[in-house]
Amino acid sequence: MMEELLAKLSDCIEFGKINKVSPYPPNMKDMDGADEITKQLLDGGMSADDILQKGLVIGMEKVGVKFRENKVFVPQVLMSAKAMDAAMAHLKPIFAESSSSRKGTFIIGTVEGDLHDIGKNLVAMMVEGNGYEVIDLGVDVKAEKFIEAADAHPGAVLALSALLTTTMENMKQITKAIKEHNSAIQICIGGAPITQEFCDQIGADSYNPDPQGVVEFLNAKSA
Amino acid sequence: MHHLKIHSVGEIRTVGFETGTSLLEILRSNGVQVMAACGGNGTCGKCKVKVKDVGMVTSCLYFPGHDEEVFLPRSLESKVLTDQHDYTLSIELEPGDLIEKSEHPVGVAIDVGTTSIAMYFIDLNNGHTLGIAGTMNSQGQYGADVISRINYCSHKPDKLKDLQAAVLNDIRSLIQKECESHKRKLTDIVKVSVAANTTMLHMLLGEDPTAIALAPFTPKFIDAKILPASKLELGLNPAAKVHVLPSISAYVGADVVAGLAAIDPPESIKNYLFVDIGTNGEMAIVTPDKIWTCATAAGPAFEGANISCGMGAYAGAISSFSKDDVVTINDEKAIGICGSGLLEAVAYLLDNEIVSMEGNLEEDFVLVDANKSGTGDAVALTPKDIREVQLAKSAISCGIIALTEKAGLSYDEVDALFVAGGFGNYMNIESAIRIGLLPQEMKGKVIQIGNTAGAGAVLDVCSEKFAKRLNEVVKKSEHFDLADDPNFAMNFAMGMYFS
Ligand code: B12
Ligand code: FES
Repeated sequence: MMEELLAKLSDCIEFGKINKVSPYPPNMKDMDGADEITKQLLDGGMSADDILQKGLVIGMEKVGVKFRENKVFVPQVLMSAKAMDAAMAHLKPIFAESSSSRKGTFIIGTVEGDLHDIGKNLVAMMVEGNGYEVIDLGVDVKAEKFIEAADAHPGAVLALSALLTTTMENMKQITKAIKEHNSAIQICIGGAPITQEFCDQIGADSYNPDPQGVVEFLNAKSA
Repeated sequence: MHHLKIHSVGEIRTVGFETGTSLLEILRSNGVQVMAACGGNGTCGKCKVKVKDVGMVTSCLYFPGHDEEVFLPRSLESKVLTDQHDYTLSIELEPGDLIEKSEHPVGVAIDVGTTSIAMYFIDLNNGHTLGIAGTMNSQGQYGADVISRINYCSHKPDKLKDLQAAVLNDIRSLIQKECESHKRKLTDIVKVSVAANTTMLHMLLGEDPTAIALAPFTPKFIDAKILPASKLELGLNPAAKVHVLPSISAYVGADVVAGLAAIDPPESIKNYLFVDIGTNGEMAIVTPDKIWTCATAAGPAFEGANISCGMGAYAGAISSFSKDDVVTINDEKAIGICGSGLLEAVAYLLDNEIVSMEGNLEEDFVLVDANKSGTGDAVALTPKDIREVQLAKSAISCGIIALTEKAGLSYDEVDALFVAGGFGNYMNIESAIRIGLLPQEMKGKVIQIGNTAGAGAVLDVCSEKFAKRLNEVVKKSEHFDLADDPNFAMNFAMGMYFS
């Protein structure tokens, strides 16, 4: 019974079914969504950790892979992220109380001078859906703010997003400032104009063209 | 020191270079123009040239290590939109006192576009158009879009000089050619009016545009300017003046202001949308007492960048596509696809359910077979190309939705949608509506109005009074930033679906 519900939850994440009233996706109309099923699982006594690891993470990983393979695109991923938000709304209060086992902390922001956040938000939601605690610093984020956040969460991985060729320069400066402050801090970068060469050139630790890549980077680290 | 042999149209020459310099840099430093859409970032793939024994290489990522030979693509003439539209304002000739400085006074109206430059040569004795000329903006070698170009010169005065020189040279040679073909002297030119986007105006005047590209996007100037033509060293009449038309914001420039001021619709059109379907997707909604403007940053997909076989509207580009009819520009063998062809091809793929409503394409779709193309490779659309179209079309359609909402109107109450600019003029409206670039609800109300920026510049050359109209547009306008619209992200994502 619980197994079946978990599988359904994973489907809700994969296909972006937020809750019962949500009309999306059309072929799941009137069915329970991530919101209801998460609640049922909690009421049935399942731990928040299990719901996250055995339900949400499974669904989110499928989305990540399909997105990488270009089988789904931004709108589907966004709906999946919304479904995940609905589930996390039940789980987050529990995580906040217990010193529960999230896999690690991930701090993300769009660099100074840049206000593009759609891609960054997708990355943030995918990483969260894969079992990490995510701290989103928003857009137009200066080096000091990244450093402050990193100091407050030792061991956290930092992620920088830039969508403008002009703000790539800021990404470089920010990476430099963070590394000078503490060279042990791991930095991931991404965004449409970013390339692996650029990553090597500015001394960041990981570049990924898509969110699934960064999830795999994090998983490899925490394994 | 190694040597590079350069083959370009009917010309071969050899230049020296040091290792460690990219092929793009070598060519550029020797005055050879290569289109570099992303400004040498290695992400657009448009700077390809053929290297002997190696094949096509991305020149900004290719670092020759020994003597080599390179073959350049044929350079291409740009088309200029010439027709003036019925809905363009007509105005009495009142060019000002300067006409006394020459017996045959000439005014020059210039629309400096990011991609191409259009020039109108006007006889100021009678207001007649003597000639119209156009050329590619040779700043293109430093990047296709304004951001790449700003990046090239940001905080680097000498690089800014390169950009300024490039556009001034383009203007000088156009003026020279026109003078020759119409038997006028450079000193007959007494007045110049320039419409352009905010970045182009900064580069034209040699002002640092850096701040335009970074939040909070503050240009150095947006006001109208009148300066002595001698400042730009154009070699015109010593008394000649250059009028720089006013802009509204970093991304809504004098080209849009000139366009809005040039349109004079009939009584029956009270509320209307004005859309320039280009890289920056500037648009406005005009109501009797207010104008709202925004820029949607659609990206250059409809100009051919980021599309695997994409290219500008030049000879050999597929400009129209249906199952049994593929039309290319100048009827040459297909070498790529331009924006208007792209629209029709995607509409075709949707109608035939080869692309799903979600935008999925299973495998590359061949438009023209390898044995019939002009390159020896098939001209095809890839699944990723469709994604690029989805991003661009959704950005434009979301801008239109946001503006209409901001004005508190429904589509019923919007009487017309004017599409301006080169691509807008050549595109098939039905296809544009089919793929959701333009709203279904505006069917039958879309009007292709041509180069309104050029029309505005012409009006400004012809009449001193037009400046007042330009100022009224600026005063009536309020810009809003889509980044501040909390619904934008969701609308943008959902707008990527086809229906
Ligand atoms: C939507 C959009 C906007 C929206 C932004 C809304 C928002 N809240 O983000 C609005 C309209 C406000 C906007 C404004 C501007 N934009 Co804009 N915008 C776009 C557009 C259409 C799509 C970008 C997008 O969201 N893509 C979808 C997401 C999902 O993709 P993504 O961001 O690349 O993210 C993916 C990956 O890159 C990766 N990723 C992203 N971040 C990270 C981080 C890490 C760590 C990792 C691992 C991965 C990763 O994962 C994501 C999922 O796969 C593009 C053009 C295009 N066709 O792509 C222009 C574009 C990015 N914009 C551009 C510009 C210039 C601007 C403006 C500066 C000027 C203008 N013309 O309006 C302004 C102001 C910018 C600002 N506010 O910061 C240019 C940049 C050009 C250049 N050479 O740099 C583009 C390319 C359009 C163009 N003119 O060519 N824009
Ligand atoms: S890839 Fe070379 S200029 Fe864009």
